[in-house]
Amino acid sequence: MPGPLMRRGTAIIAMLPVAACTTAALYQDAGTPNLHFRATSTGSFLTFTTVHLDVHRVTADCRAEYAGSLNLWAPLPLRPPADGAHLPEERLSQLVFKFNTHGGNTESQISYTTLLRPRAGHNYEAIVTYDAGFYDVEIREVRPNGATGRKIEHRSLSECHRA
Amino acid sequence: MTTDEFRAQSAGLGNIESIEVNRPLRDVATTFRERASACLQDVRTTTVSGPTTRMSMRKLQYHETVVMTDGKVELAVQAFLESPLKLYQEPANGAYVLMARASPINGGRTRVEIAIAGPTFSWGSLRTAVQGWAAGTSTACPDLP
Repeated sequence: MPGPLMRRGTAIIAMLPVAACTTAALYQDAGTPNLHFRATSTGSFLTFTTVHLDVHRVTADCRAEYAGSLNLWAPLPLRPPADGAHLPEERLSQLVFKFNTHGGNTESQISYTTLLRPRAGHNYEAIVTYDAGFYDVEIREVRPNGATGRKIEHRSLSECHRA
Repeated sequence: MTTDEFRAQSAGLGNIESIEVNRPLRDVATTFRERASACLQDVRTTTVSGPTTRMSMRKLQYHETVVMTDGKVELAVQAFLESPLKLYQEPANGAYVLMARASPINGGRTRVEIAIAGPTFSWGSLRTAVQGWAAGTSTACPDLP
């Protein structure tokens, strides 16, 4: 018969996955991926930086509604990082790339937020890099014939009506 | 505090430097506007330290301003500490952490003076990023504290 301390510990451990599920949900969209990722992260001494993406749907009145998250890069991931996702065509999505740095005694987070309205028949490639305190996100359109097209300019939610 | 006062304060601490880049002022201005909007606009950072000695959490919200006056371009970056307890009075959008002032040398060259608030380990990556934007050699965003 386990003691009260052990029972309490078991209860806390059992609650952890539930608590995790309330903060992030896996982004799932049944369509063929039209956004492809190439993510790399280079840590410095005793630190590493994970990269993940939060996808939000943007409503007609320019509100961002959380749709789910994807892991793009992590050291020793439990499952392979996502290499693609489907975003609804001709609809605005908000992409929030989050960089979480863990090291020593400190954990920090910074994010890069932009908008994307995928065109029908087009693919998009997001090249996401984190290297020694600097990060970069470049999204390029890939034409139906496979040729790399224009770079998607950064847009904030306040520019939603123009994007 | 104004950007002139911040510049004077940084100069007194030796946290100011000047570079020359082979780009016209209007190109530097365009890059400042685009990169500052992408990398700094309403960026929020969270840093949690501990538990070796004590747990602490700090949240900062960044605010960028790019102003063009008298043939010069000025990029100012402020950091607003999200805390109910303030140990000192700060400007509305937070304390200044960087100010970059670009002025033309001639048609194709520009001088950029960059002042930062304090230690290089805190604001060095921001200064390096702004130097790269000014020179047109990098578009990377700095990981801010």
